[in-house]
Amino acid sequence: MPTMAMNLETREALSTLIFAITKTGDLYLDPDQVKQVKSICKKSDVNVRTAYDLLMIQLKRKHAQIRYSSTQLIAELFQRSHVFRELLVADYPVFLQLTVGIHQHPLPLPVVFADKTKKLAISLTNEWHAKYGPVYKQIVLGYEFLRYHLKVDFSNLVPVTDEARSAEQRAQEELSRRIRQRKYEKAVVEIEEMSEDIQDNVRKMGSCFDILVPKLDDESALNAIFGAPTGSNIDKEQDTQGDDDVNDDSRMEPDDSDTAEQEVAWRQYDPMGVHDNALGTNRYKLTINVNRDNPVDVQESEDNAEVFTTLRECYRLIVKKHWPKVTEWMDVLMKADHEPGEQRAEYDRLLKKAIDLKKSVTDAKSKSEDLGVNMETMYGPYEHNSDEDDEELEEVEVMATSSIKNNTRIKGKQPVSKQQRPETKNPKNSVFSMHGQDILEDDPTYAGGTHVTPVQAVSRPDTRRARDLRSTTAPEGEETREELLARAPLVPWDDDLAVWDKKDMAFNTSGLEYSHRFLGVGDGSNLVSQGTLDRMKMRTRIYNPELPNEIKACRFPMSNGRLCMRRDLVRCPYHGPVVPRDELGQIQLPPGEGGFVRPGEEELDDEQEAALIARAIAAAAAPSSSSSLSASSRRLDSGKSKSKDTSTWEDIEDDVHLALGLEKIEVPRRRGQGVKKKKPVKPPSALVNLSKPVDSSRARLLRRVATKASKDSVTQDEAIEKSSSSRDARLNRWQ
Amino acid sequence: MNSGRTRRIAHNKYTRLLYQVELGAVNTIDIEEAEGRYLLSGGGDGNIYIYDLEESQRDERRVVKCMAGAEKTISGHKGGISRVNWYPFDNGMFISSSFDSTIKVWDTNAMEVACTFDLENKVYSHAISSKATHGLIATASSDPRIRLCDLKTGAFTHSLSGHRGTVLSVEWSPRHEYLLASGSTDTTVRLWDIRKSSSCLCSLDMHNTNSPPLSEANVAHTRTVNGLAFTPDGLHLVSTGHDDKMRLWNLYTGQNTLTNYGTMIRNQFVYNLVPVISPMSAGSPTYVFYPSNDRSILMYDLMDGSLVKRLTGSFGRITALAWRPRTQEIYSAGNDHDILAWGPKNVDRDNALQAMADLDTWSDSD
Repeated sequence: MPTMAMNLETREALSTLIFAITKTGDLYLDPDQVKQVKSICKKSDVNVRTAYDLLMIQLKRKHAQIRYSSTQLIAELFQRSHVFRELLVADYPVFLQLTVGIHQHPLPLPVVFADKTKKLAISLTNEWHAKYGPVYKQIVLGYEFLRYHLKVDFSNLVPVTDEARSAEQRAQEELSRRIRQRKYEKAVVEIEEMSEDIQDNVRKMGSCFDILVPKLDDESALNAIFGAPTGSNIDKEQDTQGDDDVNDDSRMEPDDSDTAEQEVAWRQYDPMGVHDNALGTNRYKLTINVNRDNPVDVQESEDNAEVFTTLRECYRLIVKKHWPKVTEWMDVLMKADHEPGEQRAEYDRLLKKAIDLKKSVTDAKSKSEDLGVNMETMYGPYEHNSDEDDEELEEVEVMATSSIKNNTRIKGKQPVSKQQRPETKNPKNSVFSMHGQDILEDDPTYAGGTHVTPVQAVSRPDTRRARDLRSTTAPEGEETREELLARAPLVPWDDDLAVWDKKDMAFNTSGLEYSHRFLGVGDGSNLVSQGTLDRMKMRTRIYNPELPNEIKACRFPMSNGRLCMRRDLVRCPYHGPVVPRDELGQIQLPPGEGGFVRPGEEELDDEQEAALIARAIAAAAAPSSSSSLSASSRRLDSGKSKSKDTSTWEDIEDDVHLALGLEKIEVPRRRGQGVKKKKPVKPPSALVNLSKPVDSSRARLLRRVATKASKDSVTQDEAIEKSSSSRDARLNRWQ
Repeated sequence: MNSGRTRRIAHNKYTRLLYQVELGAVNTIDIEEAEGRYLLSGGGDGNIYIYDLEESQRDERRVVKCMAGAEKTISGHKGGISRVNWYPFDNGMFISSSFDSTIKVWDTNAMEVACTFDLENKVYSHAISSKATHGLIATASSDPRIRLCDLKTGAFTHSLSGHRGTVLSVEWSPRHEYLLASGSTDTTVRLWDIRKSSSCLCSLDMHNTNSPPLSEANVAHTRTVNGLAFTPDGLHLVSTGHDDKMRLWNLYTGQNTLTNYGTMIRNQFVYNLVPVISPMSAGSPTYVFYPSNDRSILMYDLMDGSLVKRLTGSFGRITALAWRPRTQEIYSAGNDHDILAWGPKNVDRDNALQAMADLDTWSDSD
């Protein structure tokens, strides 16, 4: 130790720092300050001793927040300095007393921080015990004491010191590394074992494909297509042609450009016009639509049922077993740790193998899916199943497929894959969408409006529209229903649609005879009166007024130089109608009017003003329940601006009072409020003031009850009671 | 004992965890003098155990297993043990006193009770002379009389009356075989010659007034006296009381030496508390170890009263101390179920852990 005597300034600095750190009351220490303390302590052991003494002083304070911060700082220094360790270990019971509260020394308030301190100290003891236990026996003693006497549970502790934290992290990493390694080894073995199986399977599937789908480079298959077909199997050949139309580029790609060529070919091979007869006329243009959903249209028949069965089996194997396996291998290999040298070469080989396998499996899978083999159709129509139900189903299927075939033949179309009708998705647009329909859509009880295929939008009101329709269509009479429908307006469904075209309507439309108790039997000839019918044809509409996006400020120049900030829809109660004004508050006139009008003189005629006001009132009274989100947010905005206005309320008031020659109203302020507004006092620390009496219910009651006035009244009452009772006692004593 | 070694005791922190198997607090311990090997412990739960200290010699941290134990049996004690003592001349026997108002004499080998004395009062302590051939057990109980039990006959011989309160402590002089000292809640320390009919020799007076030896005004402490210890040479007596004082009496003159042991002592519980005095050797100071109630052991220079060392680190209140002469160790029993051994630290520089602990680990950025 170079100097035993401590530099007074250093000591001063150290004490200031430590007191500052421990008195912040924050949950976490300021790292800069901690660093400063450490740098001071690093200089000499004397400083460490001083720091220890200061920390113990702080630790003994009766405030859990100070103790918590001190404990944190102690943990920092304990980790660093040997001298500090020696000192703390010597006083270990005291340390635990102050931080855990052993020996019937409960920790001070606040409770939250007391708990935190306790947990921290227990964690620290646990970690120090693990690290320094063999050297510092006091820590062992403390640990055992906590464990066996206080029954502290040392498991599941959160590591608090950096070292413990990093150690835990390392352990975690090591564990996951080992798991990865084990997975890798397992995958290596599996790849070796299973790759054969997978390749076999894929090969099997490949041969199935070869059988089902002839390739262009396959001579026999080509001959089957382009070789002279005999008349009997023309249809079949045609089928095949359709079947193999596309799979990849090597296959034949029948499209519009090819059709002419084909026609020539047909003619060449079919001079007798058989084909013509089948088609009815050779002027038909042949169009082959390639269905993207099912490009290879190989129909399963009795001939190839066996092949399909095999294919299905292979497919099932691939989907259920090989595909997940291969994906898993890829995963494991990608995540495995790369090691240099031989391992690396081996790894590369395996990876390549796995990638190849994956590719072949993917190919086989997609090909069989193209052939219509997938998990949903695990049993083909020709596959005999043990279930009787399935057999019935099978027949039906046969019927269906054959009927389809017949149809295609009759229509003369080449085996066109089942073409899906373009799905007309009804966009739910209508002329009058109901207000708030987007919200209603979520409601399960909402049936929605009538959805009709989109027609041109109609902007005319519906009732007039209906009348128009009637008047225009009636005389002409030639227009077809479709044309009329095309012109008809699209209106959401309402009751009036049921009766809109009725001239008269019977009361009883049910068709049933119904008898009334008093009125007798009604035969359904009673008609609804014309007026009622007219009313029934009316339709309810909810008026959804447009709220102004932003309510303009009045901006009338006030005497204090500011502009009036009141926001009113039509007129400010102090400054008249709200008109556009510039920065200085001068009225901005629309470009048409050149004259300059004084704000007071500007007058709207009564009618105009009334209309404006009516509009504003209507807007304000708009039904809030049916308001959309945007409307509500708008209202929110205006509400906000209103609350902002209140701060300037006093200004406006003063201005008006000044104008009227009245005195300014002094608003009585609460004492604290004004001061607070001027300079917000920043609390120097987050320490909870423990000396402040707790505002408990008892304290509040005491404030009420234990006042001098109430006590006096009680004593007064007692005195009266006493005197009256003594008087009563004497009353009965007849001397 | 040379001073260097003692100072090593004093300067190093060194505890050894002996055992933690007892369910109750350890109330009393005693190490036999013949071999210095066997430790006897009596617990607050009435159990007595014997430990072999040699076993734990190698590994400092080893938890010593109990060799033999007298669990609460039919013949055993029904209440907490207040004091255990080896029979000074033979390890085959030991004596225990208990709060269940009995004193039992045990056969060590069989761990069976050989003889029971029922005192009909809570027994706080007992003493057997390490010198005398008379084989008398002096007892301290809530009865003001000190009753003497004769090991030879297994019966009470006679009683010494003079105290006016519970007797908390009795000790035989190691110098004179018939000299007995006793301390009581009546704040007096009395010296007895058991042969005399009016057996009380004197009552010690802390103020050293010239009053008669048996004056009522003579008090040794201002409050209850609960601990007594003779120096090994029998020339001095140490007494301690609830007034947080320790006093050294010169037995030759019967006067208070007025040695000031300072204000560190804490003593507030009603039980027999025995300070331990290290063996005396020429040219080196004698030390007295005091089990303070604030969980520390205070080590004083006996003659000049200076505090040499305060041994802290125990988590329980220290109830009893025992000196092991061969290894210069102090054994302390605590009410936290532990018996700790305090001794010179074995400085082992080769130990990697030690080296790690000795190292400062400031980071460069600090």
